[in-house]
Amino acid sequence: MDLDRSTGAVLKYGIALSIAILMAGGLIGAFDADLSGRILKAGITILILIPFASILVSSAALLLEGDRHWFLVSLALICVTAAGMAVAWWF
Amino acid sequence: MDPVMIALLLAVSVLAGLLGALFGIGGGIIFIPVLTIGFGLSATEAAAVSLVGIVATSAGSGAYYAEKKVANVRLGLLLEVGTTLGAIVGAFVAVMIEDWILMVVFSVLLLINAYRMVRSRGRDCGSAEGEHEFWFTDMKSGERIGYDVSHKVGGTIACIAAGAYSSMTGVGGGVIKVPIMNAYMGVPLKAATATSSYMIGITAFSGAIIYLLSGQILLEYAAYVAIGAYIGMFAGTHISKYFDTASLKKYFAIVLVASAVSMLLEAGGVL
Repeated sequence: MDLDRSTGAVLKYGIALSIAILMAGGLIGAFDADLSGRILKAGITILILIPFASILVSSAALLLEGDRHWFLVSLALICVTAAGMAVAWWF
Repeated sequence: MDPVMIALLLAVSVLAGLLGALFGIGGGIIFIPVLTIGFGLSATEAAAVSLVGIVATSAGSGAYYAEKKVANVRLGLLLEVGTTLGAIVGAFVAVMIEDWILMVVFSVLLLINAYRMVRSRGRDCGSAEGEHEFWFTDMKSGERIGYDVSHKVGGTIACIAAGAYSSMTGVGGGVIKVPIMNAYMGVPLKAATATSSYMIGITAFSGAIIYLLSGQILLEYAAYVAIGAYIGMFAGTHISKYFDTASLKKYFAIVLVASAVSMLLEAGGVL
């Protein structure tokens, strides 16, 4: 599992999927505003989650590559990101 | 939304995505003033929509640069630890320090870096010979360039400032991260901008998820911004293949000066 390719794949397919959903939501908006809103929300949710998914995949790739040092760095990032979300949500 | 407004929003987002992919910035310095002044959104609404656009630019360009092995994913993960910590710190600091003070400080730093970029236009970090920690292939020349990252701890600490700035203003912080990597850590400019492109999405994610959960994202605006940024990102990544390092430094210096001017105008209450 190559770190760069696996990270790139998550980003590439994630963004392609979310953009396709957003375009569908925009087109449906001409006929059904309520359904369009729900589709747009799904597309935006997927889009926003892509960076976090890429960190998880990078972490798994580093673990499989046996790169312990950088795997620990990625784990630290996951922890800090989770803490950041918790703090922001709390306040 | 009015079709003319949709077309304008898409056009601005294409431009932001293009510049973001070329220079490793998110495009927040374009999104925020356009959305607040041009579209009448509040600062919070504009920041939320801007963060969605930054994630779209970063995911697209980050994918391209990671697969081409120009972005240094390992370094990006390390520096994001500092940036994300900075974003948390920034949320608290923002209530204790006046925004304009920080904006003036960052503006001065950007202007100093712009001057250094222009001064060092003919040379860059990295070498095609010898043993190096990291390597990437220059997409214009096809040359393999190796480099060693110095000041890893110092760079991570410096990225705390980028994260703090990002959380306070709703921009990606790329204009701060790229000079840190290039001037302080010894990362060649092309690798630094590519790595920054990958990083800014992670920085923006932390803020965007909160706006999403609290229902503060204007979905229609965010959708058009994301689509436009995605199209612009495609153009930016392809144009980047034709840039040599000297040109990239020159244009990046212009971006730094424009960002500094934008911040000073905002600090002075003009924007």
